[in-house]
Amino acid sequence: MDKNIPLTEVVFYILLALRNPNHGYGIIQEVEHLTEGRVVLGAGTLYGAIQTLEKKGWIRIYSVDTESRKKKEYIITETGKEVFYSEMARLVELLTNAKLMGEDKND
Amino acid sequence: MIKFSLRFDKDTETKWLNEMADQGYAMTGFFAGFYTFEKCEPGEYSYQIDMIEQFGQVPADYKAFMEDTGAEIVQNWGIWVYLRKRRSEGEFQLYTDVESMIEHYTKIRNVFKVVTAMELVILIVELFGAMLGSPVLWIFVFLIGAVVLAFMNQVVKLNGIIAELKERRGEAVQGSNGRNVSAFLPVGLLFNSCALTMTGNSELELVRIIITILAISFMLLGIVQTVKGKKS
Repeated sequence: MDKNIPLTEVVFYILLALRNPNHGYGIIQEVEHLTEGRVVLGAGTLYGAIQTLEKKGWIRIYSVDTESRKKKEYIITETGKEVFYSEMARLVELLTNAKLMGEDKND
Repeated sequence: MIKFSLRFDKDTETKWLNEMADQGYAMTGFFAGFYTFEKCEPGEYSYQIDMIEQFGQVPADYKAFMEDTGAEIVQNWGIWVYLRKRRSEGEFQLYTDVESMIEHYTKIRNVFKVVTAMELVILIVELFGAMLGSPVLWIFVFLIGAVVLAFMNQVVKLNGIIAELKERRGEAVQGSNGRNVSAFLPVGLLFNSCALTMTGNSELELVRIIITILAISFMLLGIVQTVKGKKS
């Protein structure tokens, strides 16, 4: 698992956005909303990332809209969640240690 | 309106299409260097060019995905896809983080490498044909030679872009040990071996001299470029 983290910001937010089933444009909107407009995923970036994550088995197809266009919905897998949680542990460690910066001031 | 333009550089092509759209000409089609434009409101569309894995066929899920984000596929040409989006629907960027940009440009670079290699083989064949007495083939030799040079230029340029992106990612770009061998070197060597096969044939003396000169200049260029590294 170790060589999978740290995750890139894009992968981190795609995995997070796929805690519930979601399709491409939904992911873009969700990430934009979560980051208050800071991260706006380009369609090419997202399409490529989805292909890669699906190949890695971190996300899977949840449903395919067969009638109209081939719109696919994705969801995170158990493997994907494991990776996400080990990244989360790393981030918690970073944040805990980051707080040292303010504490030692007036010794 | 139809415009003819030969473009090998995706980025300047995109820029050109967007400038045309700013002036009220929306690109609606492409065929072998011929761009079709239709009148539009100035600045109505933003254009982007993407590269896909399959040749000549846009995957259905790619199409659905792009349309879902408000983009429209204007034209598919080989592995290239021309997309546009109404500017009223927001900014149109395909690649928004360094990782995916590196991936995108690397894919393009690798395609250019393969195509350049194939063109080189064709060039050698035409060269032999021309030397063996079909002077008409010299036209092709020069045409293909020009294309090969343009493509090699692209490879060098794309290498530069990729190196810059990697630097931005905070990755130390490999210095001396990661130096690329310039494509000019093998080309020069190939030309040189062509020239060598012709020695002893007095009729081909002039041709041999020309090719030898070409070979030497290519090899020199290759050495200079390799030693200099990819820093421009």
